[in-house]
Amino acid sequence: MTAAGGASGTGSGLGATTAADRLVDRPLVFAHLVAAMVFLAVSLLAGFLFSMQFLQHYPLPQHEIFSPGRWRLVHTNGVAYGFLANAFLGGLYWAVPRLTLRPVLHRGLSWFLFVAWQAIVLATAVGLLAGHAQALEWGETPVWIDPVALLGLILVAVNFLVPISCLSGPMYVAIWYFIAAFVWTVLVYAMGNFLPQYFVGGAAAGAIAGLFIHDLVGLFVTPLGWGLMYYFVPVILKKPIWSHGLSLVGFWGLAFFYPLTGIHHFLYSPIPMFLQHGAVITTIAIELVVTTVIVNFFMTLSGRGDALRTSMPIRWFYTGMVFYFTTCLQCAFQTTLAFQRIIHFTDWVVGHAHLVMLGVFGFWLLGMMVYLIPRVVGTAGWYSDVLNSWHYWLTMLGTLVMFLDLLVAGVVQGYMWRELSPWDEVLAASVPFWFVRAVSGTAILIGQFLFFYNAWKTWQLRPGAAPSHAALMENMQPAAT
Amino acid sequence: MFESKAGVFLIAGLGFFALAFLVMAVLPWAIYAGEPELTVEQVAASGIVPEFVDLAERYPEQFKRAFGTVSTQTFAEALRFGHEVYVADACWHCHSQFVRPVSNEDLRWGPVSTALEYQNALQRPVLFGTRRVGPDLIREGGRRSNDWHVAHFWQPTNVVPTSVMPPYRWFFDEQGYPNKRGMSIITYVQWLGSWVKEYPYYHGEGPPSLPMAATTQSSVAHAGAGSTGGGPP
Amino acid sequence: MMWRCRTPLCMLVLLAGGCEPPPPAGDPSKPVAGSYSSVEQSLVDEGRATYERYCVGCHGTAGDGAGDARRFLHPPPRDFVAANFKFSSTRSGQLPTDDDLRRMIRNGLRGSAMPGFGLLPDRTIDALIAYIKTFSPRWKEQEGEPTPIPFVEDPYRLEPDKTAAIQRGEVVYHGYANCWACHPAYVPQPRLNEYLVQFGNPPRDEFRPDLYQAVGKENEEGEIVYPPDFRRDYVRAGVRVEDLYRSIAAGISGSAMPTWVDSIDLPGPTPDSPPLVSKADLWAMSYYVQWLLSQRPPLLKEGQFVVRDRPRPIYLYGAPPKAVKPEAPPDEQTQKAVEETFTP
Repeated sequence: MTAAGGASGTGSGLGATTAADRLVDRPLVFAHLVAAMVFLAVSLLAGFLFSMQFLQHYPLPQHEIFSPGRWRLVHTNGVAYGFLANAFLGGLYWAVPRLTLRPVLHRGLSWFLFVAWQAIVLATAVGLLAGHAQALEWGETPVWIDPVALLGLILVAVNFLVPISCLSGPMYVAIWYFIAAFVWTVLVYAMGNFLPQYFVGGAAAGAIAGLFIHDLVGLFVTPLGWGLMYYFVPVILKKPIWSHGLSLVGFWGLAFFYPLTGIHHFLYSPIPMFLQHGAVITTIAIELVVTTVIVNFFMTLSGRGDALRTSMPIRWFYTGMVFYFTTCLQCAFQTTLAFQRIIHFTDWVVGHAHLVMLGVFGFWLLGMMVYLIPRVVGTAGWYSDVLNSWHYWLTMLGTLVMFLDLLVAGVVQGYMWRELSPWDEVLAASVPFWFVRAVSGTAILIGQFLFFYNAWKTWQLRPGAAPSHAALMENMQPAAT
Repeated sequence: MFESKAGVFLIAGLGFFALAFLVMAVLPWAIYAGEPELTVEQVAASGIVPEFVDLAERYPEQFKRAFGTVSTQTFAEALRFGHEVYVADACWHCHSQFVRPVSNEDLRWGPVSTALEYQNALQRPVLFGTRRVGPDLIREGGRRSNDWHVAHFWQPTNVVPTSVMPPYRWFFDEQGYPNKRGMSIITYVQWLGSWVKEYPYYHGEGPPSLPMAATTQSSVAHAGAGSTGGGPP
Repeated sequence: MMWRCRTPLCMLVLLAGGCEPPPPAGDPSKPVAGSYSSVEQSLVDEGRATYERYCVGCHGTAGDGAGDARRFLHPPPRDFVAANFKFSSTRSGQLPTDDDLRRMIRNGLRGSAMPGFGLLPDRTIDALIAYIKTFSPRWKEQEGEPTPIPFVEDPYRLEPDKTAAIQRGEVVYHGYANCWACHPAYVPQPRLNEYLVQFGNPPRDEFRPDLYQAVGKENEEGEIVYPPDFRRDYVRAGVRVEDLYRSIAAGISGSAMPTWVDSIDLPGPTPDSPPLVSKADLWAMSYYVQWLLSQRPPLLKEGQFVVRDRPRPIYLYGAPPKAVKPEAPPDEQTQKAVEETFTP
């Protein structure tokens, strides 16, 4: 490990953290986290609205811009580009300078990117509501925003890759994931948003669309998520990752297999069958790789299990990892052709997507926010630990219930379709599941609003204009929540 | 190599992505590269779906305002605009457009989808879909009448009481007649599946093709022009 | 649907079912078609639930065909209270048989807004029929079961080549039955006169100017009904030759289409000679119409069709009138409703 890796990984050297402290633009981190919270609120509200449509109780008036279908776009895109991207950037602006012992390329560029990214996400939301969507799952970003967004992603990559490029010698695991993620995100975005729209048509475009949907999760969200886990977990637990060898296996295994799985989104489609078989095999291979990563992290936790109780961020992180293992195991089964006959196009897949985006990466980022917000605001801790606890339990139980509910709904729908039940009967059978989904979604929503309230009150507790150095020093200790 | 900047950047970042792109994107692309992708005009030139003409007959004033006259050109316009509406209102999030060869889907919807069906500009980006809240639509053309669709877009629960589809009031003018958007989306939906041999009798419920005797054929063929073409011979 | 029984549990269930005593023969609670008073109440209840799930939007809660979707639909949904059904195997004006209702529910009526509900189980459809019959006292009042029209033997049934049937059908269609009075004619005028003469009709110098188009007629409800142009339009009640025979022979209630099976006899010129037209010719016409239908182009080519003038009103505000009076200017109240609905 490098000095930076060692310093961050063990959290032993106070000198190193103070040095890193001066490298981090705390207001910027805070700004990104706030933006993430705002977009999370919007996305969750949009999702809640859409779920009410399934109960025939859509509350908004019948007007074009309130179309439930368009708000569904806001829901998914808001989560991906508003919540996840902003929270990731916040985490990166915190972690990368500490890992590299250098500030990011340019402070002004960072702030420009912050403003520009919010503008892009807002423009996307407005564009989608105005009916400018592209017919590509998670690539609905209106065509006139795509080039701007891509440019933004390139600049983000440059901003972080420059300090990383100054490192010499072997690098810490988190940095591998970050480097790969910067490269992949740009490539994936370019591929998904431009090829099917302008260059490729027909079934081949379906293959690319599948590749894009999956790569967005696998090559943008996953590596950034794991990278941040490799940074935050050792810092908070104050112990190094259990096995460097398994870290290597995990990274290179994911890097190799993840991009090869795209077509598993369109099994039994008119895409050539041998490609579909290939995608199934690589998907199952991923599950094996994922197991090594999970083992690595749980062995790291071994001996510090009390942290699950004492440290709120660790609780979020490891809950997310249990869900990660669940969702990957589920993935290995659901992409087999036998499962696909029944569950494709059903709510099973929706349940899977919610578990991945909220249950795994959402949880990691929420945990990260729980860790970061008192530190960037400069308070000794959270306004209320009880509210934090409520936030965790409401979100966790809501996600779990929603996942299980949609899972069962999917199986019911799939079998009813196969048995040639009239479509109306399938809808009628789905309504109780959709009701439970709306209720669990409400729990999640309430949990988040408690969290936002808590964050707001914490922000009010901030010391004066600028936090004193002593307070900062104190706050570098793991949050005692 | 496995922990160095260059290794991660070049092998994992660029190399593995390129490999996957080659296998998962370029390969299928190459497989269908020889198949021409039809433009909307070419699609329209293969024939106008009768429901487009029916719209002109049913709602003559509104149709005139939206499209003018019935022609291959206005049909293409309706298809293109209907496709835009289909994408903009995210119909494709709840309606798939492919019939799989499993789960009795062919019994429910009709012939299984084939790759070449998707080689046209109205499948760009391809509208396979991701979820079936509502039924698959790739074999919907000609299955239901225009007035059913009009009533359904106005208030889906009016014709399908269990439906969870939202109403699309912006497809209608003040008097409740479908406007250009409404007529376009109906034309687009009625077009889906019109290229398959079985259309519009996807389950074999159509008339059998009867052997034609020479005399009868000639006599009716003579009057035929009059029957569908307008004036008496 | 094939039942696959793989698990022991499944076997157990079957065994348990097998142990129950068989239902007594001649169960008096069994429904008797046509008199709903004796129909199992449970069947009617099940039918009501099904009706409310599938039918109520168009046919209305009261079964009077005035559901919310009515204002868009032409032809309008059936009124089960009046119980005037267009398509049946019974004579014009009579109630249809259960088989007729079952067929319409299963297959739908092509070209109208009535979709087919082919995936409903038999029991559900039976229940639905039982429930539909509760709307009108006519079902109770009728004596016995409705009698279907006779299906005479199809003389062409065993012929692999239907040319003779089609040719004969063309002659009868144009020369004897004068179908072209409402439907389009499908032969040139000189040949039409030839056919007319064959049945002792005088040849005509003039025909209606739109001889090759269908003629719309107002029905009892004030709706203009257009008979199908077989090479352009869908026919509603099925395209198998039996279906066409049924429609031609039994007629279409409430429209100008008569019950042909009662009036298609024309004796020969002498008592010894064979009849000029007999009931068997209904089959010939059926084959002819089916042949016309098979030529219906799935897609229309520019310049090879006419756009017919058949405007259909939409009654968005206020209930659509029973008898259609198109385009009354909106009064103040409805105008207000218009504005309210379109102002979010």
